[in-house]
Order: sequence, then C-alpha cells, then structure tokens
Amino acid sequence: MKIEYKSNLYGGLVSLIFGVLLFLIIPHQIAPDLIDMGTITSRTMPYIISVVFILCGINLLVQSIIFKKDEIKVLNMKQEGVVFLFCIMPDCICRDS
Amino acid sequence: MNETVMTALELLLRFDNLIFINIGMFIGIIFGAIPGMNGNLAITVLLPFTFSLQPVPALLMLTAIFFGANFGGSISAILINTPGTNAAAATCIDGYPLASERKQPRKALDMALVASTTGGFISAFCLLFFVPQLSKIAMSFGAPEYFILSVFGLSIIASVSGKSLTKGLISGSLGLLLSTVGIDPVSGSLRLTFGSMFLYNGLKLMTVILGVYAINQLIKRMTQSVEMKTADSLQKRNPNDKLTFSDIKMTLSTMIKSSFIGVFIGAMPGTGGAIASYLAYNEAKRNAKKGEEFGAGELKGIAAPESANNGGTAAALIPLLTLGIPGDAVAATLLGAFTMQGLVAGPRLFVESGPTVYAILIGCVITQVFILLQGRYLMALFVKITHVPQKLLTAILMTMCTAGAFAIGNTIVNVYVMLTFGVVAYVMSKFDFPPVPIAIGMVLGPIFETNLRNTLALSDGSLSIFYTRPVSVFLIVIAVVLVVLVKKRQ
Repeated sequence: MKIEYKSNLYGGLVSLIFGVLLFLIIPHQIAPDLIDMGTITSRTMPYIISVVFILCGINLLVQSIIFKKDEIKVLNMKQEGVVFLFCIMPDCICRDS
Repeated sequence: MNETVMTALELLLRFDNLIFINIGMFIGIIFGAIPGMNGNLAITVLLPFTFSLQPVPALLMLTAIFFGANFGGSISAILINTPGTNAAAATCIDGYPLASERKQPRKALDMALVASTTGGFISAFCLLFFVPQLSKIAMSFGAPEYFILSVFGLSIIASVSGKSLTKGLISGSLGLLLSTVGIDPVSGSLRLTFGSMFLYNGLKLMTVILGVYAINQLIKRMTQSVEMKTADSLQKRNPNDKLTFSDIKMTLSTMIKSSFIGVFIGAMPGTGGAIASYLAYNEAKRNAKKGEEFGAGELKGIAAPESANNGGTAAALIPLLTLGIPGDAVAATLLGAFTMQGLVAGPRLFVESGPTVYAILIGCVITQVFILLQGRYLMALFVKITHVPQKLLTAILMTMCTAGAFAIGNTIVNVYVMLTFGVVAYVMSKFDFPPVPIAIGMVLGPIFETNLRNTLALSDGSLSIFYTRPVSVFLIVIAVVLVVLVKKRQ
C-alpha cells in the first residue's frame, strides 16, 4: 500500500500542534522560580522554543496552502513495516523484562 | 609551555595509543569506503565503547576514525563511481575514469592516498599551530561573548538545514528543547520530566545522538532493499598501474595548494569537505596545463579534491577546540566525546587540560603516517571489505548501537531513548527535517541559556551589553554574514 502526503503541509501541522501543546503544558511541567533574579526564568527558554515551533509551523502551512510550495511524497507501507517493528520493539522488551 | 608539550608527548607516545590510532583508522577507512556509511556513523557507534579508555587513547581513536573515513570515501569513488562520503564526490570525476577506462585503479587509489596524507599533514599542523593561539584570544571572553558564540553556533543550522531553513529551525528547536529537560542548573526547578526519575538528570546527549544519527541511518538502510555495487578486487595488475615518484612531483604543488584551500574552508563552521573538494578541483582545472585532461582520469583531478577534503578534517576541529562550537555533525559528536571524557571544549580547554589536548593535537599529526601505511599495505583488504553484504553490516551495527546505548548508563532506559529518537528522526526525515540541527541544538542549548541568564543578570536585564562589547559585535556580524552567505548559496 502506498500513501501520498505533502511534506510541508503535514510537517507544518505537526510543528504547530506540538508548539501549542508545549506552550500549554509548560505551566504544569515547570514550577515558577522561587527566587526572582529579575532576568529570564526557567520557563522562558521552553516558551521561546514553543513560539519558534508555532511560527515555523505557520510558515510551512502558509508555504504549502497559500504559495503552493510543497512536495508530494510517497510512503511505501510495505517498506516502512520495519520502522513499525522498531516502534513496538521497546514496548516488547519492556513487557518481557 | 615546553613542560606541557613534554607531558603531552609522554601521554601520547605509548604503544597502546598507537594501537588505538590504528584501530580507529582501520574502522574509519572501512566506514568511509562503504557507500551510505560515513565517519560520523562510525564515531557515534563506537563512542560508547571508549568510556572505559583514558581520554588520550579514546579521543585519538575517534579522531583517527574521522581522518580514516575521509580517505576511505575515495576508495568507492574511484572503484565504483559512488562516493563513500559527500566529500569524495569530486574524486569520482577523474578517479573513476582512471580506474575503469585507463585500467589503473591502483595508481588512482595511491594518488588519493598520497593526496589525503598531504592534506591531512598540513591540516594537522595548522590545527597544532592555530588552536593554542586562538584559545589565548578566546580566554578573554565573558558570559555575553559565550552567549553570542552559542548564537553563532546555532546559526550553523542554516548551513546544515538542506532544502528548508524553516525545517532546520524546527529540528534545532527540538534539540534545544531536549537540552532543557531535567533539573534547571540555575534555579533548580524540574523541567519537562513528566514525573519520571530517569529524566531528572536530563537526556544523555550521546543516547540522543546515537538515535538521531546511527539508528535513523540504519533504519534507512533496512528499508532500502537495493544492494550497493561492489568493486572488483585489485589482483589483476596492469604494469602501468603504479604511482611513480614523478607523478607525485608533478602533482605536489596542486596538493599543497588544495590542502590550504581545505584548511581554510574546513575551519569555517558549517561548510564541510564537499565544498572544499569541489573548490580545489575547480582551481586545479582552471590552472590546467596543455595536455592535462580533467574529467578523463587526470591525476591532478584526484590529487586536488582528496588533499582538500582531508585538509579540512583537522581544521574542522579548530572552532570546536578553541570556542567549543561544533562546526558540523562530526564535531558535534566529538564534542560529546570530549564532554564524556571530562574535557570541556572551549577557551579554557588548554588551561584545564593542556597536556591531554596537546597529546591529541600531536596525535593528529602522527595519525597521518598511519593513513599512509594502512592505505599502502591494506588497500586490497579494504576493497574486499566493501563486498560484505549490506544487511549483515546493518545488523552488526544495530547490535553495537544497542550495546553502546546500554553502556552509557548501564540502564535499558537509554536503549529505549535511543530507539525512540531513532524512529523520531527517521519519521522527521520523511518530512525533510534534517537530523544534524537536533544534535547542534542539544549541544549548544545549555551554553545558550546559562550564558544568556548570566549576561542579563550582569546587565540588570539590559540587552545593550551585547552591542557595546566589541567582541560581541564582531561575533554577531560573523553570524549574520554566515547565514546570509548560506542563504545566497542555497
């Protein structure tokens, strides 16, 4: 089975979703600093990174949807089966041990 | 100074060190000679096995792999017209015609060997001479300069992003994000640990690199069912098939000139051997004399790219050793190796570990002798090794990666982390996201964040500190110029 996909469209979408999710989980995953040093905090860097993910994701979506700058790729599921095996391998090892 | 060099020589000139250099060289040449494999894969796979070694033999072995792989790339370029490494692509132009049409494979391989050794020697001497001097300048750097340096290092992402800078930025951001996992070194807060004790100390750089470089590449090899071409063995000798002293004399000036081109290009972060070898080839072709047929098996057409790409190898370590900035994927992996051996690459490296670093630098010069010896006497063996079935090699490497990841912390969790990031990098590659920026982001993330925080604490939160210090301004200009040049080239 072969699946066709647009690399910029789906890459951008995943980046955007990942960035938004990251932005939302930061307050739950990183506690506020106990001492305010008046500069950046331990949350600043992850926030900056999440914004970069969101902006880059939007950029890729704009390139794909508005400027039609995208590449159609083909995924051969028969060949990719090995990757699927790789994905489940750690889980199998975990269960065995 | 003299005392440091004497101690370095004492550390270096030991029988076991020479053995490790030769093992590294042998492995490097093999990995370089097999298309689809490269020096970085060899260094990544073998890195965990160097934990138990002392810093000097461990790092000498890894750098020897790097040098060996660069030469090894020319073997398949000459014999089967498939460059083993990107840097050897220009060698195909004249190497393959000389080996196939003119039936002089041994002569072509020996030319590549002599040129590689010349380039390697010049590059290693430049490394030995320039690194201590540049380190002295870099010693005056403070937190603002280190921060700008890390920005400069991150700007290299532009040159390793391939087709799309945006996708390179996403990969780099992922690397930066991974570097924030664990206990924040400044405030002590836990970040993105999801309640897992394993993540308290952060993700191990080498585990992620093993996944992103090695596992990703091995999965790609497994999904490609096509077997590579193999070279004929070198047994049927043509009487004219040997490199003479007059051939070397004729190509000497080309080799020296190309080696310096390689050193200059190699020392610039984010460039790589492929650019150096094509530049040197074009320069040799531009200066061709009457009767020299470039593209049809001309010896200078092999000498120029080979000396240039090996000229760039040791020079690529200059930004790493002086500034702690990895200029490419191999340098990022070697930075991980330095860190694991307790050496902090950067301006203070010579102050804190002078004898060890001098031993490695002098070792880089000695390594070139072994390239010549191994290339001269083991060439037929290297050619035969390229006949080993690809699937068997992939299986062996996969086993070595798993054992290596386990050895990093003696825990199976590192194996899962490696496999997970291998799959993540593979899936990302399906969407054209480059893997190298992940490693660069992860290496530079802590330097970037810590120094930004220290700088802003120094300046009471004012950003003016970055453009009022001359060195900072100079580094900002260089970073901007590099990004613009790369964008223009793309």
